[in-house]
Amino acid sequence: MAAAPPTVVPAPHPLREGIRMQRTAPPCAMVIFGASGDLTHRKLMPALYALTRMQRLPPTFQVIGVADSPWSSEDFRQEMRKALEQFTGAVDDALWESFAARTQFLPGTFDNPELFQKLAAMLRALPQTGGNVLFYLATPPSLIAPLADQLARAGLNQFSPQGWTRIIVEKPFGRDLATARALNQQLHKVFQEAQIFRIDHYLGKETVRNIIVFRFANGIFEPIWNRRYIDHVQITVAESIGIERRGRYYEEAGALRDMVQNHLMQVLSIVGMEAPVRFEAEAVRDEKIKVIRSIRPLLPPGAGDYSSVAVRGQYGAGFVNGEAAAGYREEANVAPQSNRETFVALKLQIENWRWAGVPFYLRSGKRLPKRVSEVAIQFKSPPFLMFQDGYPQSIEPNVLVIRIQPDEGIALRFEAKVPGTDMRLRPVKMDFQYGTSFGEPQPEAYETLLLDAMLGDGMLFARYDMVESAWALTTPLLESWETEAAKDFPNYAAGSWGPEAAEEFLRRDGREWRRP
Amino acid sequence: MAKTLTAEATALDLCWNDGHMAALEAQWRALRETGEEAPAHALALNLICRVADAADAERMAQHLWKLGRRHPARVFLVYSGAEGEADRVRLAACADGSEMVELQLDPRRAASVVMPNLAGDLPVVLLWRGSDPGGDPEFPIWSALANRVLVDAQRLRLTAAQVATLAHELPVGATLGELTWTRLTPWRLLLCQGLEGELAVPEGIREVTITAGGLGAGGSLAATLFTGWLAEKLGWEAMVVSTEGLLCRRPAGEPVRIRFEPANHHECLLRRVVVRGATTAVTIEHHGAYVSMTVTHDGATVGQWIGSSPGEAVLRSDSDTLSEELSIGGGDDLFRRVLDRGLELMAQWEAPAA
Repeated sequence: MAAAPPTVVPAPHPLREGIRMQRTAPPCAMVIFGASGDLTHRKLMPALYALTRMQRLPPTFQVIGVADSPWSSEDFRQEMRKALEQFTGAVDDALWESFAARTQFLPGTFDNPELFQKLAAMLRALPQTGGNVLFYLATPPSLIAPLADQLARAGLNQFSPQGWTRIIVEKPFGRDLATARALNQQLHKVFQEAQIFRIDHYLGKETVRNIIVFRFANGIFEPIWNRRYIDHVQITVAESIGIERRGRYYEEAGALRDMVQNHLMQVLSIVGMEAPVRFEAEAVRDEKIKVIRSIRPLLPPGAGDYSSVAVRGQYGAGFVNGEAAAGYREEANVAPQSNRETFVALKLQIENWRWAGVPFYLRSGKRLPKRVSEVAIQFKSPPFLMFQDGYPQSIEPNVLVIRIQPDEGIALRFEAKVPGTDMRLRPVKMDFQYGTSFGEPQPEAYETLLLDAMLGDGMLFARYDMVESAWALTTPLLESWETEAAKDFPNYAAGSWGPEAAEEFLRRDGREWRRP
Repeated sequence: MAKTLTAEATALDLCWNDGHMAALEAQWRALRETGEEAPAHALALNLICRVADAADAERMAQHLWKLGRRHPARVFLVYSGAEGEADRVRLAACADGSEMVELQLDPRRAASVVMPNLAGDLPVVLLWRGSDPGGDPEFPIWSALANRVLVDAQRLRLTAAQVATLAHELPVGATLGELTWTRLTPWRLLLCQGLEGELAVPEGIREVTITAGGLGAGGSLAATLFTGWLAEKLGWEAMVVSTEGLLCRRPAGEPVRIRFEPANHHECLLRRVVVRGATTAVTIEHHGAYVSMTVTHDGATVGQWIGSSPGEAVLRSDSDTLSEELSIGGGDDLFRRVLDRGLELMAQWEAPAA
């Protein structure tokens, strides 16, 4: 099997140029492997339906669901209609009929070569798609490489020389550096890198994308976005929920794999990158990877104690939002003496001219007091506090907070004079909220990402080198934690902001975690 | 739903000196900042909407509240009261969108209220819904304040030539937007989505049939703009003009035909567009409440889209159409080029049709 030849992308039709609503997909077929699964029901079909409703998909767009379920195409349509009603609410009958007429199902097991021959025949019978095919592997990670192999054996890694063939791969992408590298190598045997779209739904969120706009479409922030003015950066992704019936998965994954290696690293790279030369996929991804490569290894080779740069935690029983919450070890499919971390805090140092000496503190955990994701840029205090002499008072440093979810927006904390004859200061917050400034609902991440993949725009997808670099950074820590049991687990109560060690972790640096 | 706060500025006698202006501003600020009901929010633009009368103001207020979610604006709804009616100023703020000032005033006095109250450093858009701006002495007063002027030629019964004149005569620094052109955006988009197979390359297009209301009777602006768009983007030049349409020459020299068919409809809107190649055709058709698109190959249907939602997308509401124009920061150069090109081609066609 040879890797697919590079796809020749035709020049855009001149009539398309200058149309304001131009982000619409070209004719194509989308083949979903794992079409009977939860992701297809909850995310993929609602996203495709929403794109159809918003007129982002062409009239010749086709969906082929593939799964090991004894369904007919009609069964599949009925199942998807039910899913839409459950997860998106009202379904427009006329629109659904139009969409459903272009939806088919192919039953079969993924290890059967005949399935892929049948699929090829189905695709050949759809000339209106222009030979363009998007494969979505909504399957367990263990099936990614075998599926890619089967596609190639059936000649589906480059279905048509006239069209493009792309493949979307769900996370987790590997479970450490070695497995991620092996998976990349297996995929690269049959697909060009430009054909592979590694999805991280976090990057499809509107606010994450807005960080790029905020930084590079405004002239006032970039000059102070560096070590001269910034004291440190905190990136928090907190969840109030526990592991929710995913005990088996979480026992294998843990917070470091599940959140830090992918979501937090992606956010960090966007916050820390240099200005790309162009707003296009490779230029942006080139800058992001430079940031990740600039991160100093957590410890020098051979050093074993990660406590100065990392803290792990596991929740015990407690209360979240007034409700009693069981401890992690009491959850279903979790070992009673589990060593798996549900909380991680890291201190990273980016070694380049912009960020040298500015620590990036990352934290993520489950069963924290609330669901919040944010980036907080804490600026340095003024060099001289002239207000201290006559009116002793504390002055809070300026903080710029980019809220990713919920209440998406941007806030700046600064000092203001309290009205009155005395010179009293107090911190105030200037707040920009998407919800009140732009009251329109934001698109779901999957809508954005599916459309991007159909358009061949990989900006919001992880490139192989990004995935490997993030694993290279985190794998030594993972291995250390997996070989050395945490003696103090569980070490934080559900509903708290994590273990005391995490607080101490910042106090040692003379700083403290923000309370989001 | 966001709560709207309103207040009658009855305490103001409308003598616009500094003191009274401060009172107006204070009242406005109070509306905007009244606790949780109207939290501070970001504004994106100023929108001066010169409406026809109080009823039109009411109608536009509904549209603009809705638009505030996407285009948070300081809105001035301006109109002259009927003979003998008292001057009036009403203020309103919406918790998740725009601020609105309704001014029933003599236009010169109204402009002197609007000017100092424009939100600083934000663009000013004038939406003109009065009479023909070409002959209205009030139009220059308002257009002088604006960076961008929006008109709806269909509503104002303006011909393509009048729109072109208006575009050329705006004050320096102001650009024109026209809502008939905006209404064509989804038609253009649908057409692009249907351009498959041989039609995916410009050389594959052999014939275009445009069916529109108002053809031949003062000219359909929609047909003029659509024709201008095709010619501008594809480099077509008219060779032969007949009552049926235009025989054009492509850049490489081959002919391509544009046919015009009048629709039985009084409005100058598109009803159907058919683009044909040797074997493939795409038809976009507006019928009743729906718009359908059909792609055929050798006479067989290979793609079809019928549904209320595409219909909604094409037959967009006034709010949606206006929303698209408010998204544009600067001028729309393509519109200007398309208008000039369309006028040049259609002027040739209209003469024999008449």
